[in-house]
Amino acid sequence: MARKHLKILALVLAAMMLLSACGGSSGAETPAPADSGAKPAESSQSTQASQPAAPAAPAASGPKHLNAAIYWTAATIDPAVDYDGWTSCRAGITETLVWVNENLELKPLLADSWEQPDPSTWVMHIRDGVTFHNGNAVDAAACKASLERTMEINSRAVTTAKIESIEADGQNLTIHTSEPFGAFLFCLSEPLYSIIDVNDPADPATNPVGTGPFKCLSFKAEELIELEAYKDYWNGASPIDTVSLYVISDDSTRAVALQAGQIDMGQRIGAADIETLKNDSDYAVYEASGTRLQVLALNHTNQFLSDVNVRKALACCINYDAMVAITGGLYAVAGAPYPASAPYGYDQLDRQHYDLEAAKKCLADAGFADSDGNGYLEKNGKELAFTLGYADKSLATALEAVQSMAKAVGIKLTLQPVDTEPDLNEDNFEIFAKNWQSLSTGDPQWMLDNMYKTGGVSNAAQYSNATVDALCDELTGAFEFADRQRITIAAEEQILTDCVHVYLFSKNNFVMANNKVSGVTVFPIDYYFLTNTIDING
Amino acid sequence: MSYYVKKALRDPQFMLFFCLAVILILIPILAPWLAPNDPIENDYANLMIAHSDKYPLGTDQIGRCFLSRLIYGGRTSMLIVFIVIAISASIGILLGVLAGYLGGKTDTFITRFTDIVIAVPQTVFVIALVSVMGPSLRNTILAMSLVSWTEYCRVTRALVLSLKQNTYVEEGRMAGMREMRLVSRLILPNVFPHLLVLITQDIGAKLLTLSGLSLLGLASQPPTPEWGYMLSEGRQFMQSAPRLIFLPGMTIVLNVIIFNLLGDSLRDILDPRFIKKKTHRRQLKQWLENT
Repeated sequence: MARKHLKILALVLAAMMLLSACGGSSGAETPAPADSGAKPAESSQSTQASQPAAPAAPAASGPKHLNAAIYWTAATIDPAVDYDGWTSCRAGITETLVWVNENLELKPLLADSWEQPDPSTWVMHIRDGVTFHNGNAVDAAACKASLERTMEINSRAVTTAKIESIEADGQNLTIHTSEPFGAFLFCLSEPLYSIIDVNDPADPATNPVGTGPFKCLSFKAEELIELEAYKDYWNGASPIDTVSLYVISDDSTRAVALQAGQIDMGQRIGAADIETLKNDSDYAVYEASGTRLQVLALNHTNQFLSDVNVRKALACCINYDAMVAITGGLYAVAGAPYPASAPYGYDQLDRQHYDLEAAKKCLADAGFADSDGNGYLEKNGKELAFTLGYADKSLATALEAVQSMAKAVGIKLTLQPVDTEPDLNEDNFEIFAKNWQSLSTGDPQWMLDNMYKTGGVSNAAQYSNATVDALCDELTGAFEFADRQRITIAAEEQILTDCVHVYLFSKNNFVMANNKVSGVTVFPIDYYFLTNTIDING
Repeated sequence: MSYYVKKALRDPQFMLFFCLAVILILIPILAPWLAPNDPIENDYANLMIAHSDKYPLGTDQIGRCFLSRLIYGGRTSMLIVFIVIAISASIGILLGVLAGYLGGKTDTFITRFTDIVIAVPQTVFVIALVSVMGPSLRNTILAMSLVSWTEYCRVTRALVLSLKQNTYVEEGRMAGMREMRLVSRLILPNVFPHLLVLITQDIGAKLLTLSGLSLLGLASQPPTPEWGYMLSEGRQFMQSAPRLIFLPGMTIVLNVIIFNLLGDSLRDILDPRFIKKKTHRRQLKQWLENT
């Protein structure tokens, strides 16, 4: 009999759980985030001067400690190794000669002025009074030693900025480039070119001695970076005394850590948590339109994708506004090779947009028809079908929406999740959902050279167009911003005419914090995070 | 058999779970008539709503009717589970009968082989197989069937071993029944009720394995609705829309519980302590009369 009672009890419990689940969900739910993209960002309240401003004087109370979280570290934080310097830059340990501010403008940092005696030579004046965390003064010789070490360790450092030789004289740093290179200064803003004291005995892999507002006390890869404010920071010491910078890779775990009080602020939020945090007055969500683009990379060697009509049909069948709504405000509409936040003619371009009729017409023009009545189009007996690969699992739902949008015009997409993102080449993909940093240094050239120029290292699509190639070459020799802007927009127009890829959306950058934290700035480029203006009360 | 049917009809506990199980099986079968909307149609004007007249259980993050997806989800889940059980039970019963009835080297070979397969943890083996073959429904069915026949094989072998010692089997052999007939008329009918318990309880277990695989993205492929995959899709909305994980989760739990309890009550009915020896003799007598 006892057995029977147990079974009945189990059933009743199950029924109760089911009921409570239904009840609980309808109560806790937030309305559809359809218009969240248009909601004014709270970051406006935090905009600050284009150069880090001196913070308010620290309060007299005890030592201030900040717990913060980032989402990634490599095995080291040595700026010269791979992309590891992005972490030391986020942590505010190291700084570069120049930087790109929240409006994507190039601004002086360690170098306070520069001139160009001839097209391939740059003379930069290193700011007076700047010291490394060990107290040593920063002069041109120290910068030369640091840059030369980086170029020795990392081949990217040589090719990106095209540096040929460096000379040091007092506070004047002279850099010769291998050819006249318009994007040179922007390239120097990448954390790769961070300046550290190479003569310090500390191991740069775990303790790079930089010039930033925070010095590194200890570093545990993928776990924790302990920081201490550098009291002699040249631009005004941080009001905070110590920082524990945790590494939490999972978006929802990071958000829960904030809600649980384990951290005070964190970089990046998952789509599901944006509304929750925005609706909770205990937390602030700072956002800025970012420079990362979510792209459907198309392989032009594919028998169908080689036809511009098919590529256009793919671009037209996507409801971009719906896509942004689906991702819960995490993204902004793109439709062009550079995001709306970049000063490269976003508004004047004929961008990719939702137009079902145009998509259907393109496919009909290309000779496709649904001859077997299964809802998908065919041509010469072959079905218009592609595999759509992706590595970022958080995109799965958005790509399911893309799948159903493509189905509406008769294109069959099969989603293919992969564990690690492959290096794309002409043989290993048809369509792949790629995340591109379109303006990694605030300048458009890197992207054009690598992705669109014939033979570019990341041009897996095998796109080739003489006009774009010529514009890339012209861009290399253009130094005036207006010229660079004009050339870039011309290249963009050609790229959109050829519908090289489908530009789904651009990612917004988010910083979340609780109400105790103030002075937060969120940048379009996500390798800036901790600054000397951040303060914490209580 | 009619003895069991009568006993089952008199058992209210069994009848309750049996009716519930029938409902659970009927819902996916009648999905096109029950579901209020198309489970893969997106309504971009109604994303993530909790409840409306058109969408009784709301919509998911890309505007699909959640109730319809739950109902259609059962189609995929239950169909796979039944196919897997059909395949693995067939393999298992065949090998079990061979091992138990023939004995000798055949028995040793089959038993050792079964032991080898059992030695590898099932779920890990399935994940490895699916990862190698590529995630798709067909491969999932194949992989799950390849590892789950062992239980049926062992139970069948043990039952056959004990049944073939019975005098009515001896009598059948002396009466001139051929081996095949002996197995199909005298042994299998007596093995089957016990396997029925195993099969019923296996439905729940297989449903859990399948959901686990889908959660990892190894079974059902979008946009096909499937409970485990719905769970994985809803996971990130645990805070803002808990129904997206609670509803598919509860559906899985409910199915597993009901089929397990059905198996339990079935076992109570078929408990050998209550089986009368008479039935076996009656079967033999019937056969003799017919020939």
